[in-house]
Amino acid sequence: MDRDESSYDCSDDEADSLEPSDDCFDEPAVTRHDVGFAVLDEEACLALASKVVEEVSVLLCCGAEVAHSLLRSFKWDRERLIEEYMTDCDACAKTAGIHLGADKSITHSPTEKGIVRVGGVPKTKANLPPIQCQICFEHSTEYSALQCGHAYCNACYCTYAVSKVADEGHGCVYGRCPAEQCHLVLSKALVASLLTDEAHRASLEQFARASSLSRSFVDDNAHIKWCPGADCGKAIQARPGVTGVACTCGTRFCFKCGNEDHSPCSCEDLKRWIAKCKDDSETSNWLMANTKACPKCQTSIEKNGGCNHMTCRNGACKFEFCWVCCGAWKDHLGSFYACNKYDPRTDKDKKKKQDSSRAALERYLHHYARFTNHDNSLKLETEAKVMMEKKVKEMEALGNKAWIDCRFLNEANEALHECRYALKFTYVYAFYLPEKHNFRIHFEMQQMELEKQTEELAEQLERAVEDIDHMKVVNCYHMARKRKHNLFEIVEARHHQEDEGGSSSG
Amino acid sequence: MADINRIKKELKDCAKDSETSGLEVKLVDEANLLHWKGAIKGPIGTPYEGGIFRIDIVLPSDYPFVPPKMKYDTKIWHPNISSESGAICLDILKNEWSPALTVRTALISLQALMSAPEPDDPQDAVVAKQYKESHDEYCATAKFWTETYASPKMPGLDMLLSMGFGEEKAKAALLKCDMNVDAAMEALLSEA
Repeated sequence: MDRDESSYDCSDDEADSLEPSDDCFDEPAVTRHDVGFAVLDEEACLALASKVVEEVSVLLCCGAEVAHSLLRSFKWDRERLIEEYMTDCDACAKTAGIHLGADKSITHSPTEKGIVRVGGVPKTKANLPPIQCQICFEHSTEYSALQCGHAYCNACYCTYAVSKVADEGHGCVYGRCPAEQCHLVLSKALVASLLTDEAHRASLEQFARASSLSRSFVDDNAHIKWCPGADCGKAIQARPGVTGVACTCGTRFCFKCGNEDHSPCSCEDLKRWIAKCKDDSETSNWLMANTKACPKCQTSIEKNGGCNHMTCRNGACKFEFCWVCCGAWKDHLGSFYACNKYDPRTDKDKKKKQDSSRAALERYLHHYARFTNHDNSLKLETEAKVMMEKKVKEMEALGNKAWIDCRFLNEANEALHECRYALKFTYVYAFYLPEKHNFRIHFEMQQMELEKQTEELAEQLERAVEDIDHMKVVNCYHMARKRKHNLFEIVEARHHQEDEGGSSSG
Repeated sequence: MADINRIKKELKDCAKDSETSGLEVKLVDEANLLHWKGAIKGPIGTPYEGGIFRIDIVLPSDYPFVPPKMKYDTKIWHPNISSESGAICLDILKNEWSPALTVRTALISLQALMSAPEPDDPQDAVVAKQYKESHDEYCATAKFWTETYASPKMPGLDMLLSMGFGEEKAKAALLKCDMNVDAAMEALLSEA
């Protein structure tokens, strides 16, 4: 969704500071604001992955491919892998689909014609005894096998590998030896030796991609996810419990549910909210604009012509009333079409009677309107960011400041963006808070403070260059960030309280 | 394209030991190698004992690289088989299929499934619940269904079948008329 290229001005220099360090895997590197996540590009992923693979292969005395398979099956949880491997290496090998015994593999090299490698040792093809392939049931001397030695003719094995790639996509790396009860997974070497035909190139490439180290490192790792931004190949590594993350491409998303960043509201609430918005907003907008509630039973009524003498069609109600003043029709007898009575009493009455469903609708619309409002502001301010770059240049041109001194504007803009973002979702959060709740009052107070501060900041930034007061802006954005921090803090404190079982009501 | 030679060999292999294996397969139509009908004897010592269960087998065009499509034609009361449609929940007919398996091995697996149901991975939730919570009731129902729908020795059934009535309808009519063939025939005719 809301992407903006310049909100994260830390593209190059920042990414460099995220060089994989020794403890990077255990504790993700931390960016400027100690946010608990790091952005990794493909090289960084590969470097991190290779490092872990190397460590494991040294520790368990196995090859890199075996270490990779083991790590993949343990979701890159090195500690758990090592612990379980030390306890029961056979069980680990079985789940990971690797072979620990003697190598009985049979592979063909596309470059060495007439040569076949049995257990890695080159031999001439003529030495292979014929076997019956258990897939096509034909006898053959052209066959291949994984390290387990279960041999199938090359044509069948090739079709098998191609169909695994076609059916399972990325899951093709978990494709197993066709033999019953054999758990060995297809090896890169075997697939490469089988899929030599030009027609199978796409499949071979897909298998290679799926089995590539960096791909598996991100796909199968619970603490790393691909950035969902369009054409962004970067990945985000986050500490457990971190939800809102931002990529250097500007995409902000929730690490847990993959939707846009929605703190402080929870993933569950966001899901409910999205569903509700889809269902309700159009319907309710239409209802608000085109209908009135029956003054007696509150059923929504559309007047599509005719006179003002309305009769509610609700079978249990049948109330007759005047469309203009919503008063009972019987009071109008004798003065048809000329409703000019105004009685404040009836007005009060109406309010008192207001149906709970309409009240709920209004409550929803209150939150929805503010949610959309902030969303719109966010979009406008995103566009304004380009303007901000211009303003920085202008300010420089005014002469008395260096570029570095003008950078506070970018920082302020970023703060504004953050606050808007948070504000937007505070309305979702508030919507799902129980009514008449002390926390709610507390929350709404903090929310109001944040809103006020955010609007002030926005106002400051909208000014013409010569009117921008450096100190004021800096104060303003620091304040706004602090307000946001406070708001998040009370939300967190409440969650904490709830987790401990003390869900306070009242 | 399905491997014709392999399918022919599979058919031949299945025919070899049908006496001892309790399995039988035949083609529905000699011209179509991809549509088979199988039959499994109910395993001894189970509520399915004494029954013959007919299975519809369709081999997809990518066979054997994709699993055969199998379902029970004969109604059966079993946690992993739909009591309505005969659909089967068995891993080797889905993601655990391997081209090194055959229709014969799949049928053997079905036989094993009939001996040892897996109520924790059910196809038919009602049966699975009964299996776990009131096992005796399950055995009785399964036995009754076996006698009703899978019994090969329903007197007069062959005659009704040879007259062109559908198997299920004919059986239902016989049951309704206390195995009186004439009454069942009359009922079927009046229905038609």
